Amino acid sequence: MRRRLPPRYGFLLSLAASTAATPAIAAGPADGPGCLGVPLGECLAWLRTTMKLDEGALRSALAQRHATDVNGKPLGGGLATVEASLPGQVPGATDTFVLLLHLRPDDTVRGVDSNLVHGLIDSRTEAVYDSSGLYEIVWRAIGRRCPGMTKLELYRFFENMVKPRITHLRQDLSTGINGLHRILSSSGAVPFCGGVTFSYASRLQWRGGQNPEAAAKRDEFAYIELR
Amino acid sequence: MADEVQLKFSADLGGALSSIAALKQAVTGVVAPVAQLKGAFAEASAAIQQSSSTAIARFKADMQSMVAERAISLRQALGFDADYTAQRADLEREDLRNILAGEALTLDRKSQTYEQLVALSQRYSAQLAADQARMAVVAAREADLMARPYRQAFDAIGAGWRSAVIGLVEGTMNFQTAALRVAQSVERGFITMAQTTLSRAAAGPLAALLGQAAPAAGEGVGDVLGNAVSRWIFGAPTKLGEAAATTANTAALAANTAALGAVTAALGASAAAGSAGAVGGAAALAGGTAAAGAAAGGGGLFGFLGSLFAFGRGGIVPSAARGWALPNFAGATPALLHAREMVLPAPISEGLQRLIGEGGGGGDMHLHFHGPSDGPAVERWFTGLMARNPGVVRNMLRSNALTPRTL
Repeated sequence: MRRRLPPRYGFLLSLAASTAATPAIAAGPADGPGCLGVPLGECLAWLRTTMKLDEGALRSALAQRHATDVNGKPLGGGLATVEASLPGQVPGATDTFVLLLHLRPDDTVRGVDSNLVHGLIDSRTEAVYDSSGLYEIVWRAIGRRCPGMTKLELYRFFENMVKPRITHLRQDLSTGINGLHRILSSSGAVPFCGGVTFSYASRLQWRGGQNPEAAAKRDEFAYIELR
Repeated sequence: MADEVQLKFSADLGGALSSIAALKQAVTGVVAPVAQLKGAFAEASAAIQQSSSTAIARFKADMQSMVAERAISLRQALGFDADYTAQRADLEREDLRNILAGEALTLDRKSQTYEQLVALSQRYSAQLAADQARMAVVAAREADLMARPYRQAFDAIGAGWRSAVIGLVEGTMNFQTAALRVAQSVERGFITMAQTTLSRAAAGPLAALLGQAAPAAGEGVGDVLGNAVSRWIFGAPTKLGEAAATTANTAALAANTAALGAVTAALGASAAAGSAGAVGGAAALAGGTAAAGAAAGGGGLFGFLGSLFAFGRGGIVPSAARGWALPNFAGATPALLHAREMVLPAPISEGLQRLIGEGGGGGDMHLHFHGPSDGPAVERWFTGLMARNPGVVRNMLRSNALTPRTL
């Protein structure tokens, strides 16, 4: 015969079930250390809790993060690449981000670069900014350095502080109906919160006429740099 | 391309102007070679990517041909494919990473390289997802192949239970007949499963003996022999000569003998442990086979097997699909057998039937079975039965019955 449990047991059981089954989900910059200025291991652990990382690619990237030439001279600064994915705007789809973690010799992260889903030069609304993945990357990279940063604040910072500083360099590499054209855009380093500088860069390339709006093969790539 | 030219003017403008003109000419002359150089670089980059995709395509074609020749299983090929793709992606990533690690990258160069790295990551992720999906499909198919004979065996047992219960309810069977039907169905199903298991256990060593690749999931001795013979007939790279064919037959017989021995040993051990009636019914099989084994010891293994295959000591004829025990008569009769059926020598068959008959009439027969008599339910019952009789498994291992023997 089944015996009914006193109400307090039910409450305790449900409490235990809720605490045991629900993993800690980081939802904002205040929830973790971020990556800038923190040791690489700590940064990766933080990213792992908030994104799905390609562990196979990460292993080989970590093994070669301080690559040297045949003379033993470092090939540039230390660099570790992290391939991560986040749920996309379209249900069922994922957005791929490749984070470049620039390292100091002691394996502290001195800078983070990340690609965006699309360029931001023509973005105006919150929804379009959302779909670029800008906030999703920035709060993960910065962490507690800017604990109070909100999505709208970031978008306003970009709209009002970064966009006006973006300069464009146009290259018409060839002409004709299959002409190759390119526009390189860059904002330079703009001071952001927590002593971090923010840069935006993009590269728009197309074939066809002079007008990129009428381009046949339009290819745009945009990324941000945080230092 | 030279985007910017810095010039320093001195006080002597006349000389400087002529120098500028010369420099302009030089710059104009340089534009074409620089453009060509950039074009060459672009072509080289495309060629490297082309080479990479060509190498992958060649590798995939090799894998497909190996699968077609049954040198490797599809799952192995997919595993190699995924590994190879990962290695290629790693190499390409490393090149791009080394470029990006440079301190003095131009915006153009960095954007281009970074974009390639992101594209590579997306391409590789998509490839990996596709490979994993294909592997999951293959694994599910292999699991189904593995499970199918067992499922059929349990379905047959379940059908026996159903017909016994229906017979009891409708009054067309008495308890003794129903119990006999149940015991026969359980015994038949058990033998089928044991044969399947041991045939698969023997398939690997047999394939190694014949110089073939490991058999795919669910393949037994018959599949390995079939593969070997088809390779021989259709001129596959590894020719199977007459000696190899003889070896194959011998090895197959040895494997079947090992399987038969294991079944009898297991059933004998189970009977000795005094287990439930259905398994206890198989004790006659164990006892009968002991006699057959003695005959085998006297006349040689081939003699025993030969007599078995010639039905000289009994048989289930003309079609054993539904089971048929012959009455006593002189001479012999041809038999038509199906896959996975088994022919028992007369003493074994008689002993088995006698024991079952005695057990049903005189003693108590406890068949504890709860729930519906379908395949999964009987499977659960059978698993429990095996768990309660660990001696069966232990004796199979002790007698080394699971290791196929060569002659």
